Amino acid sequence: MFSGRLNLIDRPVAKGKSEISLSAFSFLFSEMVQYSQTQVSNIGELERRLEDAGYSIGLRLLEMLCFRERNSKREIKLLDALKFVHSTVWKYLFGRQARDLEQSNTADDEYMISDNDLFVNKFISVPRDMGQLNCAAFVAGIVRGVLDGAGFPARVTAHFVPIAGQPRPKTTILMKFDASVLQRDLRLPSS
Amino acid sequence: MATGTVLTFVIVGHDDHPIFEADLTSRASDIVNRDDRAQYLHQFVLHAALDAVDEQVWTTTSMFLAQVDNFNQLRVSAYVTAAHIKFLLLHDGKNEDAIKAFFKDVYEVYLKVMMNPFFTPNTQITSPSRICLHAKINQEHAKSSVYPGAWEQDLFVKASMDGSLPGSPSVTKNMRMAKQQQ
Repeated sequence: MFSGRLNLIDRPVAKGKSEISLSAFSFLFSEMVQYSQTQVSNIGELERRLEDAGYSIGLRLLEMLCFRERNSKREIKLLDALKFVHSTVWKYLFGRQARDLEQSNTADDEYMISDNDLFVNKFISVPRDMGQLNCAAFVAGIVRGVLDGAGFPARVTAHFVPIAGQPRPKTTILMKFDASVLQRDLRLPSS
Repeated sequence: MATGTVLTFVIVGHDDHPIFEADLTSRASDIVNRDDRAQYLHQFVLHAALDAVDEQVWTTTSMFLAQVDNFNQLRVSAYVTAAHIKFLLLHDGKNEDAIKAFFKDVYEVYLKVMMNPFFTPNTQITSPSRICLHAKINQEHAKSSVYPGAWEQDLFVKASMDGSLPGSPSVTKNMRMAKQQQ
């Protein structure tokens, strides 16, 4: 077993296949949602469990992507970190960049990333008594892990936003940053 | 006390507590004679350097911070990863490029340790992954050090004394080899 372990460490950080089977993921994710459902008693807790599952993924994803894609450079400004999530992380997860990255009009510390059809929700239909449950809370958890690890603590949630003229609503990931993040961002010399 | 290149390496997690420590001093002398007081001093210096690291972290996007602090003739270099895990190295400032390459290699090994789903970030890195990490670090550094033989010897004897290695065949074989070299 000792020599087996050495091999694991000796292997290079492999790129791996960039595509996995959608059905495999859907089965796994549906099991995850069902399992979480048995453990909780309300919608908010269910979303929180999905978010926590995504959080640990986000931490590891941050390290891995910075090593591979960014050639070992960190992000120190808020906007750069958001752009990192919007392009690099989304590309790794979904194969394309996210649709929008916008700042909320009402609050200074809120930013939104929106996308049309996340495959996470592809095979999920939410019954009416579950209200506004959005299983993209899993993706929100991943984003929270990435931002938290990079030093930008935030509250990240996923919402459905209906769009005029389209049958299906788009999914918006809303990020509300701590006050300390904004203060630090103001203090930094802007490039 | 035999003088050699002084090197102490620490990985520090988020709450400023170390999750991995390694004393990489190249001594050919016996382990028992290792000066514990100097070791505590080194760890104290590294801990004090954390403040300087925190200052510099938000000024640059690169991960490698060449010199964050110095203490007499010893310098502290740091490498901050994307998730703000700090690698600190106490050295005497000889070869900066080797130190940068060293940090990069440790980063790769740390990445593999971190990808383990059973490893909670910010907790102690325990064996057997720690032993592999240690082995990897020593291998890498031995390539650039003056005393290659002492490293492997030190490593396996220390590992057996830690009691953290089960009696697996490859380890006892190396121990026997190490004992034969003495």
